[in-house]
Amino acid sequence: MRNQLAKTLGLVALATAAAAFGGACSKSTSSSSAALPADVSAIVFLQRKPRTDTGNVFEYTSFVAGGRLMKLEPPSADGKLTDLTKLGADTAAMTGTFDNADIMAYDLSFDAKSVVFSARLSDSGHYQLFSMNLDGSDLKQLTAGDNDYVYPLYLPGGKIFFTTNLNVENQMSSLTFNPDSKQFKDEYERATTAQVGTMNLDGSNKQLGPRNVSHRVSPTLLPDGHVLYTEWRHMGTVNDGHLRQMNTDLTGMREAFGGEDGGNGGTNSYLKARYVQTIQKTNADGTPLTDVQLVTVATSRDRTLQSGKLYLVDLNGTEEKSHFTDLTPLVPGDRTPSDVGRYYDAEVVGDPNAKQFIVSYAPGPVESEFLDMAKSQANFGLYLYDANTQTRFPIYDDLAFWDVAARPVKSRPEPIATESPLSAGTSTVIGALNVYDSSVLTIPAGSVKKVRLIEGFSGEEGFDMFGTTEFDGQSLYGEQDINPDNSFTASVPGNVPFHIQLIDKYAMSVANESIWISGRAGERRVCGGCHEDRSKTPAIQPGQIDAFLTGGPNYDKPRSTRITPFAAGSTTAYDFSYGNMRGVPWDKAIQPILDAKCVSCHDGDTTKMYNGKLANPTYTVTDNTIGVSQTFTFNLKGDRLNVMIGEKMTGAYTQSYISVMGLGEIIGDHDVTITGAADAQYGYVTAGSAKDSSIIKMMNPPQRFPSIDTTVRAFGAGGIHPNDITGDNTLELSPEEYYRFILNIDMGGQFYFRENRDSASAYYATGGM
Amino acid sequence: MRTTNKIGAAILASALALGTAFSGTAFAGHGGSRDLILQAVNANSTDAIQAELERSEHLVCAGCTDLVLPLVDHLNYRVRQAAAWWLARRGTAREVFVEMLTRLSQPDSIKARNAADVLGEFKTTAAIPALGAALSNPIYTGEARAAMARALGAIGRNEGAAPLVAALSDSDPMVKAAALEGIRTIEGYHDGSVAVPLVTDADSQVRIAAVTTLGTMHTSQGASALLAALASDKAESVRKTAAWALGEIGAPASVVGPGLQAAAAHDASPFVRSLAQASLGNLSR
Repeated sequence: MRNQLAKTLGLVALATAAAAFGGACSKSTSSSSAALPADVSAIVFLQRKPRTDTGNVFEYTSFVAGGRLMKLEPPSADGKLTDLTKLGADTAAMTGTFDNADIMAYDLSFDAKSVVFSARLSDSGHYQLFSMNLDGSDLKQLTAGDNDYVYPLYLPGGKIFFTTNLNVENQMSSLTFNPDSKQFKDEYERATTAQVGTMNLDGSNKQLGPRNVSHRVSPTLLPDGHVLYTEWRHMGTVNDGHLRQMNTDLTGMREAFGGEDGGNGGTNSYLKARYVQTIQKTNADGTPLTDVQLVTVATSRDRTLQSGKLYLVDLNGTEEKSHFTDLTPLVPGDRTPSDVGRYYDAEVVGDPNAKQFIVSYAPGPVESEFLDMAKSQANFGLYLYDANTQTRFPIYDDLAFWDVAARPVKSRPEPIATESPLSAGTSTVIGALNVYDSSVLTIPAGSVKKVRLIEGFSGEEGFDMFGTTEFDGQSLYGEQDINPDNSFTASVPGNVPFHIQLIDKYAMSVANESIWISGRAGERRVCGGCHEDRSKTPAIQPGQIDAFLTGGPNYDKPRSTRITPFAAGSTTAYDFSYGNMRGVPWDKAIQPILDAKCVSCHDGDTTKMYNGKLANPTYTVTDNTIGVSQTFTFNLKGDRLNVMIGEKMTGAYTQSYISVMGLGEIIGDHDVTITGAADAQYGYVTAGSAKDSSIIKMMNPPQRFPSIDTTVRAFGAGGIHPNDITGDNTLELSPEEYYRFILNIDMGGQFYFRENRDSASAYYATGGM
Repeated sequence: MRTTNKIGAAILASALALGTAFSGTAFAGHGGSRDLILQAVNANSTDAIQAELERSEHLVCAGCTDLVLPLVDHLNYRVRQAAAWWLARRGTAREVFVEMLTRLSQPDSIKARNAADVLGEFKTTAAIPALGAALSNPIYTGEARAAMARALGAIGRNEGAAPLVAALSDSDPMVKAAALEGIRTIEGYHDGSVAVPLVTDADSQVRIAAVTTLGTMHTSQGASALLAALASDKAESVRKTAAWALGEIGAPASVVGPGLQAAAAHDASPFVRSLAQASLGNLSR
């Protein structure tokens, strides 16, 4: 009776919503069951209490009590509705266990007889994994403790995949056990990032994937044995959610869709991807191509309740060749309140070429602020969606719940497990057969002299910020020569994210892909090139296999030593010489150079002129929101900049840092007026690229590799600052000092590194640096 | 009914008009403005406030500070946390920091709790002495002092260990549980055995926190206490957590195996049985 009422009310609500919001684009009817394919005899789905605080697309801990796992058989108005979580608890004589719980995700086993799900019980602060048979028997809790376990998947070989905020480096089973290592905080230094793991069906033998800087969420298993997932990519200004894939043993992570041409023109984030079909195609050169086709939610990073458009994605073998088709063209892809509703998820049913999906859909704006303002909530119900006609047919809608994540109860083939061989030890071996082989980067022939390897970290190490330039925390592992055949290989700490730059003879980055890479301990990640065309067969040169097996130079050092060492005989002064420097803290590594060689001219004196140019140009920022102005003067002194206009990230930084980095990166965002010297406004640095930074061009650094040669300059035989002013080289930077500047900028132009973590504390304690 | 429709239409029109002001979708983290923050605050939307503060991370906007500062006293922790994160990135950060420190020496527990939340987000060691003192200050409620403990844990520096360990003797269960939670995140502090006496605390939430601490810090010295809890604690939640923790502490199978086997076979709760079974599988790792 209640179900019938719910369905009736659902239809009324749908009709009301359709009227209120302009009729949307799709037709809704009350005749639904006949449209479902015959093999969909029953469905399992989640009922979650409505909420508006789901957070961004990567959040996984939104809790509202009252969720449950349901089965509807047949999936029609007169179908039998079973509360599976209640059935499981009652069968186990644990009646009430799931009362006031929330269920956030689940998966059906390959034989469709059991289910694994992530639930937060009323007496717990964390989501844990449970399993049971669909008949209610054999209810188990698989995980416990101080972390969340979410997004479970059945894997081939009797395994369960999950994501968790556990940290692989702080597990007893890990070779890299370090009790002081914490799982990363996300880009906003608050939420603990989710990473991947596997366990046996009984909860034993937990294995965690490599640490990651950002979240990994919404996994799905493909029939070819790969796990597809959404990863938050963030380095510099990149800030979005892409589809990536990995092997079932958590190795071989790589891009799938979203970062290159296939995702351009689409939306910011892609999540909750589900397999549609495999299509055999032919490449332009006649070679065969196996295309995996998916359906995924495509939306803004935030405010859309993790719902949005539906895209049909053809992975086409490589990210570069991937392609999407918008199945819901009238649904906004950004966070604009919709007038045609949004889709929460989709599952293909029947003939995949017919493009029919069981979807969770809510009418109306489906945007959190709008809903909170109207004191309303989105109502996701289950529909059959025909993408060819853009028509929805209602299946089930209980107004008291979000009805989401429907899956047909039917068996499916168990894929083969996909694995990479793991060696003993703690390291990940990284390498490339030819660093010039890239489908996305333009790398001038002969320009690369070394490969720079950089460790990534985040706020979990005790930072609330690193600088003004949006990059994560970084620490240099080392720089190594490329081989005569243009290959390289090296060993880095396993389970720790790292970043690769190709550097030229001036030690400046010439190729820099905006992504963190990670590999398991013992994994060998050898690529054809630096983001090479993955549809090509790599050519392996004689001797390369041996080099990759030996692992090359070893940068896998204990965590405690991954910081610049103190100079001989000192317990406070770091040794920032080449080969020892790991971080380039602005106040400790850069400021002394400025004090010795720059502030005699660049001291904030607005009257000083050299060669007809102001040494210390000024610009004024007027905040149009309240009309307050502040004038900034170029000044390379190391005292703290007193900020009066309440604007961004300057409180714990120095005059010199703000003078060099400028305000340019942020100007586009704001209702401000800036007048004065253009160069100063925009700063003198392109964070992440020394070779594109005007301060480096001005200083014109000398050749560093294979040996230092001051007669060979990065930007030709032109001026060298400050020699162009002084007329001699008495104040010119030394090769070591040039290198510090270059490394700081190539690593993001940050102020804070491990070496000066406590500098901010001094500022807060005393107001000084 | 007509009035409702008009209000709804007005809201819709407003929201749709606002949509044109949204930036493109290529890069999140940009496109914020004072108006968007104000609108989110007026809607009292946790999701939108958080999103707009993140989006305005780099916003030059003196007028925004007055909007955000009151949010450190918002009822919702997530809003307080996001506001603190945003304020830590402004030129006024030190003023906010000093104001929050001042709050730790006034009697209002709610204000003190909120100050602790902000200081934890600032992650600076300069706040540790004041937080440590407030943690043991009896003028504050248990909820406020629990927030002090959580803030010390959020800062995570070794200087915070001493006040947290001292708080394990507090009379308030909420404070003890929060202190245990904080201890688990202190850099360089590895002595989980301080939690052993609390495995038999009168309060079940403290017992769960103590057992969790032993498991999380992989404290093999806690084996006996955990085995006792698994065998006889009357609270299923404690026994579940003990079953899990015994698989995490790295104790020899000869020590913890029999107790886990007994629980896997005979405990009244299927959840305790399954977690004990999982831990038995972990002993061979």
